[in-house]
Amino acid sequence: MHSLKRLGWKFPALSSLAESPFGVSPQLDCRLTPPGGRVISLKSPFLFRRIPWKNLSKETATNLCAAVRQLGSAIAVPISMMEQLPAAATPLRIAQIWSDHSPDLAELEMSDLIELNFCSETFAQAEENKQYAGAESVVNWPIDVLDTNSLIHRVAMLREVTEHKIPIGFAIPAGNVQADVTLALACKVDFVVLTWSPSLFDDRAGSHSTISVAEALSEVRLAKSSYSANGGADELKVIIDASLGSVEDFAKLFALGAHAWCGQSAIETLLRQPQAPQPNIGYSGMLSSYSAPKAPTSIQPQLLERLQTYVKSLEYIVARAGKVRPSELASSMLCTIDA
Amino acid sequence: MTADVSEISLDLSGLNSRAVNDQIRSLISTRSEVKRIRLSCPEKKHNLLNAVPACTFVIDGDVGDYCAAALRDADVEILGTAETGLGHSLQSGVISIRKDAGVAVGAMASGGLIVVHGSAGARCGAGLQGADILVEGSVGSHAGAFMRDGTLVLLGNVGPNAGYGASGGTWYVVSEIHQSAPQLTESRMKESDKLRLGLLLLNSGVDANAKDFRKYVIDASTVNG
Repeated sequence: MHSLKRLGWKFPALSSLAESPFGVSPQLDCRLTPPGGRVISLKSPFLFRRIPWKNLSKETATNLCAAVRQLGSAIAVPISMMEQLPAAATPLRIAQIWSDHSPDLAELEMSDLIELNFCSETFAQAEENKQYAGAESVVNWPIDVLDTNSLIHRVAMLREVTEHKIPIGFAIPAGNVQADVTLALACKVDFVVLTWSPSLFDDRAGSHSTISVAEALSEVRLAKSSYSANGGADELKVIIDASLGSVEDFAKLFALGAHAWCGQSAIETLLRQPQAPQPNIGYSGMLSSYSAPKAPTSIQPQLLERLQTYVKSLEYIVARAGKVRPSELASSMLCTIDA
Repeated sequence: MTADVSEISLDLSGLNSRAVNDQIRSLISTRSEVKRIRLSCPEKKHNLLNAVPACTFVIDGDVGDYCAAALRDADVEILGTAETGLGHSLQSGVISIRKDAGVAVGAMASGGLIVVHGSAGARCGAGLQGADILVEGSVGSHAGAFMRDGTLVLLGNVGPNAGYGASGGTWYVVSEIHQSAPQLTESRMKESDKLRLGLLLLNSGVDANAKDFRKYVIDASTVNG
């Protein structure tokens, strides 16, 4: 699906790493710095944006939040659920703003990150031409926004309301990445989430054509380099919301310029996982049907174990490349492998 | 003779909005006797009075985008015009504007009252979550788009696509709504409606009779999801 599989690593010879900080444990945290100076640090470079909360039991939801807290990552939790969580299970919270819903002030105060959706100009225009050719005007942006200028002012308003303390970002479909990232840079947001998977809340996202992860990240680098003359392009963090083919692809994202990954595909896989097989044929099946049902296993250790494999793989790659932080990995360390 | 210390005048010329908002916050927190702040020369500044504490404000001039956003219990009177997003995410209190307002007046507002004595642009009351908005003049397209709760009182003409994607709320309109979303249907004005509307008109200082209005509501049977 994505071209990451065709990329391989070009590590330097071990002899050349004699003076590099070999043996120092890599620092994988992703730091988001809003202009107010309060740094939000994701200890593990993961984000969880689209969780099917309605399908989860309260216990599973609590375990999930506890696992995310243990990882030091952020998750989009509904405010009603956030209030019920025990203090030990309260993770960093993402407030999501969609076109027909905006969190109120109290909700924003309980948020650590703000994510604005429908912030792609090209996407808005393409949808307008495709779906609503006959309509006089349509609502494609956030509903109080008409054009890019309004979007810039809206982000400024959110900054002012949150006293410049909460990181604000855009979630954009990965179709016209260069234009959209340039817009995000003009709006001075702290992060962009490039989305591939069809959204649970937006049926339009699924019909939008996207490019491969590697291409999208090269467009991000282009947009950043062309904008860097004005300064501030390095502060924009790029988060990838796509399912990965394998654990090895995780570290490649960072070499290509990403700063974090949305790991909800790992959660979805766990939730879809079938229960332990039970014998249901013949006499043994009758016996098992009479036995008391087993308590479902907690999602927390399974999720932690699964995501730790991603973390370990990234740690290995960073250490093997003689670096300390994933952001020091460069695209030049990757080469194309012929199939 | 002593000067009236409950009213303070601030000249905003040359200041940026962030400095003005910070100054107002510190002023209200340190001087409890101040009840009314008059702001002159706003110079169409954007983001003026965003999330400032409760007080009475009079703005003597035109303001820019997202003025008086996310306010709680404040009373704001604007003597000029306003651009995009006036009273965005208003929680409570009253915002009154003497002239015209731009796009998305009172978008996402969850409480309070916004009175526009002139006309309002497109997307007036978009995503409204419980506030009341009264517009004496006309409103543009997509009035009350994605509205969930609250009241729109419109004395002038209404643009196309009123109530686009709305799932709740009440419209009181003098003229007929043309080209509205299909779920927006006319309903009978009850005595309770007339009483409520009369109070809203009285609070807004608008000279109109509740009997002249038509009531529109969202027909729940046609709302998807």
